[in-house]
Amino acid sequence: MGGGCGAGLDFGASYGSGRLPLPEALSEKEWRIGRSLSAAALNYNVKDPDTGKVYRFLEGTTIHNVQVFAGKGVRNKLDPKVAHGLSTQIGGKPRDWKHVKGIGTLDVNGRPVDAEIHWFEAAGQPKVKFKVKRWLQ
Amino acid sequence: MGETSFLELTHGKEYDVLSIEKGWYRIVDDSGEDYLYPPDEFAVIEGNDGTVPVSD
Repeated sequence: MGGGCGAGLDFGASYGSGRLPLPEALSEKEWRIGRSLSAAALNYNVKDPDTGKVYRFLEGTTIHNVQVFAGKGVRNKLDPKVAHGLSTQIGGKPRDWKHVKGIGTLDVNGRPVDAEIHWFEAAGQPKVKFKVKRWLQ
Repeated sequence: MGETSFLELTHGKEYDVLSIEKGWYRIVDDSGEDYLYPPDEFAVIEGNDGTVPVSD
């Protein structure tokens, strides 16, 4: 008998092919909205460099629970039109763009509110298209 | 209102509001997904007849 080393372990066909399956989501490091120079300023504006639109994240807020949920490195791919559009309008290669989500605090009518934020990013490119997916409180 | 922006909103296009949450409008934008947008991005064409849920 003897089964040998590794008996019972099934690594699946993906190992045999030399490829690991991509994860559904990929955690990334949290990042912080930097403090403005004015200590009196309560909020920090995050400007989407592509649209000029300004979101009012609270100063010093940390964007946490950051996860890539589509695009490079994960199972779900970006819509090719989206990836090519980002590449054309902003830069980088279409295959490098990622759709990312995280939690941050925004100023909503003068009140701090936590929200799930989505944006796109790629190595060497700015984070763009910040959008609010949902309020968390 | 506002400017056309790829994957976001198209100037002059009509959008249906799915719900109003903390005063922001949830709409299916040009990316095909629903997101919340501040109301000052829009001009209201037709008021809420009570069918659009509102939450705080």
